[in-house]
Amino acid sequence: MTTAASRILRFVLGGIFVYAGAVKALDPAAFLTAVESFRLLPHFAAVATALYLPWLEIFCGLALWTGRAYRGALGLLLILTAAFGIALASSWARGLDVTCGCFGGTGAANYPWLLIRAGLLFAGLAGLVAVESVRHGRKTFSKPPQSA
Amino acid sequence: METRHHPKALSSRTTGTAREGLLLLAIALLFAAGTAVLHPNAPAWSAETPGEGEVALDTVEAWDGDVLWVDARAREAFETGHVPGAVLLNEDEWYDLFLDFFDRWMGLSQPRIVVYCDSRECQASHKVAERLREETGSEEVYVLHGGWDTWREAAR
Repeated sequence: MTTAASRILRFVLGGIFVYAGAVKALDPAAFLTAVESFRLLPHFAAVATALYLPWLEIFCGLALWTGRAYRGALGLLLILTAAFGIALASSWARGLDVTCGCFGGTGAANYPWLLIRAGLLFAGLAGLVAVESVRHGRKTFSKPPQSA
Repeated sequence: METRHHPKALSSRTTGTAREGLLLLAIALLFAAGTAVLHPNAPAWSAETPGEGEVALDTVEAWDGDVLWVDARAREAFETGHVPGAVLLNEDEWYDLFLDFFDRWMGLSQPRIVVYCDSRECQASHKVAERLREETGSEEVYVLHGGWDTWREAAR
């Protein structure tokens, strides 16, 4: 992946997470309804998630934009996206009528589309991790040993 | 060609990534705490407190005036048992059921509408309530906190 392509990807993914986080942070009560619809957490933990997760998304998204705490943000977003995918699959398997809450709305969940979207986000983030690894690999790999 | 990671460089990179992650977690925690304290629409920590757009059963029972109960569950669940006088209105059969609801609504004097589904976690009541607010223009549409479970427990 070229540097320009990875910059565009960083900008797009960062924007998605900042927007998704901001919409939820503006209305944490509505996001709580979405979190509770997954029936994975007790009420107290669901409230904590509804208050905390939006800000984590916002700051991780900003980190992708600015490049500050970039690798930490990538790691956290990979974990969050994977956890969301697992929660979705679990709810689908249990036949729950969940509200995604991803971008604020309360519409019915379209599981295949939500899983595809989570998969695309995960793939994008994994792509950025790969670019970062290659970039750092160039700096931190030792020189090949001299042949005898 | 053989290449090797420099162990110190790798270790420092991992530590740096972890430090960055912890920093982001800590900043988000600060803002979450601020939201919990300052946000006018911050959710209640207690499961007993009705959420946004919800109403407690005790409150409904204390209301004067007409109350129209709306059962947002599936038809089978409604036929198994429902709040006395409730009208069935769910998203799956919206267009078939809305006229019945509308007749009942018009027959009452400016009733408050209380929608319920199975429990605190179900979504159907919130979705039906939102749709009713849009289609009737009434602000007096509420979701019963705890849903049918709460009603059944109170009726025991």
